[in-house]
Amino acid sequence: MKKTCSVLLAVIVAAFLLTGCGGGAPEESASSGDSSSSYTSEESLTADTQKVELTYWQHSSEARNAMITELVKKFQEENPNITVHLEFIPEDDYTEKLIPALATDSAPDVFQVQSGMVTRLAKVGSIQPLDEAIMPTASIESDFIASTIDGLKYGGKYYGVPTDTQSILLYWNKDLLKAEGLDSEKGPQTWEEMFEYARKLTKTNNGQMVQSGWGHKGYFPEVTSIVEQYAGKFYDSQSGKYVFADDETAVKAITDISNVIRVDKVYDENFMANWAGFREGKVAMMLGHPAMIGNLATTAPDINYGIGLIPAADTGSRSSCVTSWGYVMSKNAESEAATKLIDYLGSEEVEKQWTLITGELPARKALLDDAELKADSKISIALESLNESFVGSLQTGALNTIWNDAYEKIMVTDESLETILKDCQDKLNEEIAKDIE
Amino acid sequence: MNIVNSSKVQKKTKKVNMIKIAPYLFIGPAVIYIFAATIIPIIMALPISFTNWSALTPDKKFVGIDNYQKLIYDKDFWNSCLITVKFFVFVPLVMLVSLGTAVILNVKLRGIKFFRVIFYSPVITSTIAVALLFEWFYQPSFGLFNNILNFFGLAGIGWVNNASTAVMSVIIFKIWKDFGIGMLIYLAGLQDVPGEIKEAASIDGATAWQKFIYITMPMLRPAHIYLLITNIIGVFMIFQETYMLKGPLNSTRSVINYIYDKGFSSAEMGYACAMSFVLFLIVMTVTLVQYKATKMDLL
Amino acid sequence: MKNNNARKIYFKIILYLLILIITVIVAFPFLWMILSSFKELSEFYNVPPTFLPEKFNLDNYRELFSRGQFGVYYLNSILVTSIQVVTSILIDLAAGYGFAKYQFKYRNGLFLMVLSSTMIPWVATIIPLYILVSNLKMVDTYWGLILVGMADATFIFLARNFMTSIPTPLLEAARIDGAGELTIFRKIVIPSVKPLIAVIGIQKMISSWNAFQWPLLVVNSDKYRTLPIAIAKLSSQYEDAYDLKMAAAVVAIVPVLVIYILFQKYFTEGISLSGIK
Repeated sequence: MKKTCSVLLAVIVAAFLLTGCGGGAPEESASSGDSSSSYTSEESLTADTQKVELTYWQHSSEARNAMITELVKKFQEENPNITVHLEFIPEDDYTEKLIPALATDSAPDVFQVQSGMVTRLAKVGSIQPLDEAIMPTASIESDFIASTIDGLKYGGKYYGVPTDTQSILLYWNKDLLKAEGLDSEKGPQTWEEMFEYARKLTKTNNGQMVQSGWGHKGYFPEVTSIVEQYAGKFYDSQSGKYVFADDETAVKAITDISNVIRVDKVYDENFMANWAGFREGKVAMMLGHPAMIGNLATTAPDINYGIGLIPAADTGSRSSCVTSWGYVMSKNAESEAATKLIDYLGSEEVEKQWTLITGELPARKALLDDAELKADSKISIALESLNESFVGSLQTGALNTIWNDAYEKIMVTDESLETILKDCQDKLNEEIAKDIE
Repeated sequence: MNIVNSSKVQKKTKKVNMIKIAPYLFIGPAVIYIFAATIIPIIMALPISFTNWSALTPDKKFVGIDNYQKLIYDKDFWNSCLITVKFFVFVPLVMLVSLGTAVILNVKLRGIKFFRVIFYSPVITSTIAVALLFEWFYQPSFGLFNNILNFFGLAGIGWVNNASTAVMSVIIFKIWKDFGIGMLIYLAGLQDVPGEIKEAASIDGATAWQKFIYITMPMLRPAHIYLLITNIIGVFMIFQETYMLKGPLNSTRSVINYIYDKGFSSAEMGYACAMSFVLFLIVMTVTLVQYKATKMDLL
Repeated sequence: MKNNNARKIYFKIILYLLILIITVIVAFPFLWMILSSFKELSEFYNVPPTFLPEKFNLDNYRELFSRGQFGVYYLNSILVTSIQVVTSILIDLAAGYGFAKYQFKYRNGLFLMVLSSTMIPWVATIIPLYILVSNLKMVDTYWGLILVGMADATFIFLARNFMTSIPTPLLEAARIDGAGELTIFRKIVIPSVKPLIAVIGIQKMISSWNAFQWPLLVVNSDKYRTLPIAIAKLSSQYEDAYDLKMAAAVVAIVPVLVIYILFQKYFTEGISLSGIK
């Protein structure tokens, strides 16, 4: 009995040690201890400078993956001492993989993270500031659009550069609009028109939806855009709190936009997934990111669609919410090499190609007036949307989940909008408070 | 190979030693594996559950019973418990279906073995893969099930897409997937029921139904107990089905799904460990009570 | 008497009918899946749905294996499954034999540990296990994927129960003849437990092939994904791509079904071997 006790004790002690060693053990380079990554490129063997291996994660989409593989190949040719291991992780999965990796101190060297996470991670020291010698603060500030780098600064230093910058654009199926006798070239210009079009384009048969006018599911950037346009207040940056449920104008805006579901029933979750429906020609209009330009080109090349700015409110505002991700590097990364990679990924050349292929917006000021980009009619509209834009206030996975859960409630239950919003606001504030303590 | 060349005396002492060492060598790998993969982790879970370990607090701090206190007030946790309780409807239903099919297949007919093979086939397939199929069957607008209902002039229902029918839909799927396990176990039990007893009962004028209730059912007691226990534990552990077939408003989020979300989507490792430890205690208690109540020996 | 005969026939018809209905319920989804995997996406939106594909095409499979890298996932699944089947047979048999046929210190205690580990729900261990594997730098490697699932307590239990029936005098006789312990295990024990090996091997194969929870956690990148993970992720990657999903389900299910039909007696035997009735 005594023996069993002592064995048990030893096990418990061992368990404590095992759990304890997670944060403590310092590592010079994350990849040096990783015996499994035996892959090395030929270039790095020929170089006589010190070899550095970097792991790199990004959330994937087909257009992005192929492109980044090409770009990184080029980067490795320019920097023969650096080998980059690319990992593409599906967007839905991305947070689920990155967050545990951060918690267990096994994050990749360079990775994308939603911009709302950057300051939080910087605060706990999971990521390190960019190497000043390669990317000086002053040049970051002069080169990038202010709204895209606002969230990347902590303690006077930049922790990353923006990527995956997105605004909200309007997509419509020209054929379906034409069939209803609606303006299929310009699309709806105001929210009133948008609601009107959506009602007209929704078709049911025996009470079952056969065509949806607008695949609206309360995607956060859509909703916050209309709130902003109505001059409502979604988030109060001074107090650092969400205030939309207490702001009359904001509630009015959310009521208007959610009524397309609650009253007009222009989309039904039982019908089909919204973008899938758009691709099949069964959903007539969508609000979405410019990235869908690149996406639709590969997934639905035959669809005849139009693209325009987000509808305008009575206030005349046509403001669109801008969200972005940041390229950052983990605290274990070799600072110089990692900054070089980030510098390259955020360079004008890369951003331009990125925009041309995926439709995602550039974050560099110089590219806003780039002639080649403007030549493409779709991309030029995407660029135009940046002229009147504001930064989204909900840019972490956990916050998004709370918002989506709440909006689902708006869509499928009869609960009063005010209660749902209030409840959602409390939960959001609770989530961001985790940071402050 | 050395043994072959060594002297007889050495050989003998070596052998005596070998008999002492051999069992440890045989069980060694298994014991080490189970120790490392199950015992150490379960012991580790306890200290972790007393920390605030998360992605935003990688330098974990000891927070005492904070996580356990938080759990008491966590509405989402209790809601997921409630959903898990709803899934318990599965247990009697699947046992009934298993028993029914077993009774049918126990009749001596030509080619009956072939049907046994077919009926068991869903069990061996990947839950994830067949869930894709059912995802399509359940699709409210285009899916098969509503088309069948419409064909008979009935209105379609929302299935997984409707919070009030989502749990039911998952249960139907799970019965289809799992009834074969119980069927085989019942079948083995049925084949052990001696024919003489039934014959004697027939002579005494017992109907088929009476024979089934008073003779067959009691003989199947061990099978009932085994299936009851494994199915209850199975429901506590429900994860893959609800990972794939997600109802709206978190209507199918089971305890395990919730723990998984907390542990990995928001990486609240400390809190997730506290929840899983509580669940572990509940499952252990239920299991032990069942073993006790049914007077089954642990070994 | 006549009446009785008529009743018997009546009874048989009902029985066959019932069996037929259950067969349809069980087998129809598989049939539907296979046929649908040759359909184009637009056909999935037909009301009423079509049973046979309007246009029989292999595009879905082509797309899975080119764009979706299903070839890689397939190889991963085969690799992980085959290694785990081998290690599981070796480790479980050896342990079962050790527990069944030797007297040694702590035997009962260790066996109780093995046994009680089957009662620990996986969710209680999975977070610490992830942390452990992460500390060993084995997240997102083949090691992490394969090591967890190398052996199974239930099979050890099964093997131990089965092996107690091996006559001890047989082993003693071999010992007197000068056979080493390992030789006895290899030459006498293993050949006499072939059905057990088949049962463990096939059941482990199925469970490894279908394994989901652990691979879901430990695999990050595309190149280590196994089939079930890849299939689960089709939903998020391609939204409503039912055509691809059906083809993916076929790819994962059909090989298992074939093996099951070929070796079906070992599945039923597993039940009787474990002595649960």
